Amino acid sequence: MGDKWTGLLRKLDDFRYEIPREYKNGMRVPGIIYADKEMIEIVCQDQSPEQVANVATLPGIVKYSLAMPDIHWGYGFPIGGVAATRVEDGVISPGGVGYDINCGTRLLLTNLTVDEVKPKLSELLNAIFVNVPSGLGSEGKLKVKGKEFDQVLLKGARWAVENGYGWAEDLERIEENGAMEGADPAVISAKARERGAPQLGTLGSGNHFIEIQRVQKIFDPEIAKIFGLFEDQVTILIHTGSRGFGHQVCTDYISVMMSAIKKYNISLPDRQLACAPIESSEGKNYFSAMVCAANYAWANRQCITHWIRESFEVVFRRGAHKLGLVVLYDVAHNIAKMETHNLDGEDVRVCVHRKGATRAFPKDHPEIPEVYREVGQPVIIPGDMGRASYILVGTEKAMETTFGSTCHGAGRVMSRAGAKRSTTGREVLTELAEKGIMVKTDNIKGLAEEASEAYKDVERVIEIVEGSGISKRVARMKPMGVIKG
Amino acid sequence: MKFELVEHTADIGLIAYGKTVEELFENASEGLFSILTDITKVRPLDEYKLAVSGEDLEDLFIRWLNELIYFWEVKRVLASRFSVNIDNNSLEGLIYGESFDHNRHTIEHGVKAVTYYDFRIEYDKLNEIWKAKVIIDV
Repeated sequence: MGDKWTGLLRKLDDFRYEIPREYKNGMRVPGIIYADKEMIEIVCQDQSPEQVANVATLPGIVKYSLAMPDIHWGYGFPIGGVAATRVEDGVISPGGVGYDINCGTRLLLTNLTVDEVKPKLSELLNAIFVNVPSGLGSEGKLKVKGKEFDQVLLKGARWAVENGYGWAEDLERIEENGAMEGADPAVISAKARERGAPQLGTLGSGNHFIEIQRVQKIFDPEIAKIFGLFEDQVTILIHTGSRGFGHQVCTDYISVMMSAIKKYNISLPDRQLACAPIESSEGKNYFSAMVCAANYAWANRQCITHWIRESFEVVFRRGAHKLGLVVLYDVAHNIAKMETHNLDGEDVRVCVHRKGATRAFPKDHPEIPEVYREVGQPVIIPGDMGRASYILVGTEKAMETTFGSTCHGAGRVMSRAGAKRSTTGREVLTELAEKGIMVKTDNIKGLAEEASEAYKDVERVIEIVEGSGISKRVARMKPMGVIKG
Repeated sequence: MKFELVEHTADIGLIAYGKTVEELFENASEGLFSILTDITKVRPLDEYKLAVSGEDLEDLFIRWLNELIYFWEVKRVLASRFSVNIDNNSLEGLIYGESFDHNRHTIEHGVKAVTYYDFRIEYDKLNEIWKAKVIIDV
């Protein structure tokens, strides 16, 4: 693990710590870490606060370099980092989005209860495991090539729906309606196409999963009702992204940015922050390519949704509509978005980088689905396999203080090797079974890396985001069955 | 030692060594594939030729490793032996391996990319050895 961070830190209030500008040469704004007394101790175990300070040096960054309470050590940006740069004179950084562009989560609802699903859980997991290509070295069952592949990049989830994967109404409940504007397939390399085409419609591996869950607790009955959530309901959480396509897009453009920092004379404390002015050709091309990858990810989660519905239909011998298998919401947590935010009384266009952070817009915001406009945007927070996941709702406070952002998960505390030393995949499997959680995977060894103790306790993360007011608890879900890639 | 894997919270650090720059690149390649799979089970049956160029040695190093990730994902070939020639920031490499076989090979980590974070190549004059450290996003 990395060394303990011992830099300059000031407590602002019970839930926020500041890294002042004077801490490091070149910081244009202060850093702010969302954490309480206990969490800040964990955060300072590695070099992630230094990465918050590094991000603060990006040209055009406004207000502060932010870190959500699930912050952990990444490369370039910390995971859990949020930074907004002025469109007018700021930069865009592929490192502020990450390799898995539009890694995100989607929650599907059902009208089934725990008691109805439990007897069929094993059959259901098997069906999904067969229908959704997952795991390492797996390839998709879609054959999308050439011009058709461009359509995926342009239309995202809409491409999937037009091709029979899902329902038109799904699109209304996806961030950006599942297709962000600004995609340009002309800026995508042949390599990215080659990596991306065979992997469309696959779950992938690592921390990606499909989880069958039960709603264990409702915190806000009124909002839960609007979201369609009730206690003991069965829900399905999908966590995946843009697969090898996004990885290659990021690799390609980090290389472009390495030249751009020389061309535009940008000096950075970490090369992984390589960036270019938003309005430069390099910046614009990266943004167009990133949008392609974001759309690919939305198409991916849409196809997976369709196969999950088919699996339920086979197991329960009822149509997906009758089973109430509707999308609650689908939200990205690795993305850069051009948004308007109020800076000292003035509306300013900024590029909000969210790397391991989720958009959390408040009620009445025009960019959230109409059905949720009177309460706010649903935020989906996956925990680890053994603990819990959360549905939160966006708040006005988030808009004022975090550019409408909140956390994205529990956040790792233990390295993969560390997790493997402390437990084995078999032990994890047994422990989960004791809690009544079934797991399907073809990589049992890899389960150890995703053990509960490798992550922060999601409860602590949620207490901080709620305590600081940047989002509000609506419901907690407990895992019943997990498919791990 | 050819290479070692070091810990990083969400990713994996790879430190490679070599008496020459070429050996450094070859050992790093072996390290990369060992994150993917148990390379003792990968037979060097087929030969593939790859070439990349970079702006400097460090740039070349990252580009080469990223080329290997791309090669694995697209060709679905695992490699266990490497031989590279480096001349003026251009690299020609021969890699030896075999097609991925579900029954014989286990993929232990999906590898997304090699990053520039905390990356350096150094020559240790005292011990006359090249050393490179990179963080790999898995």
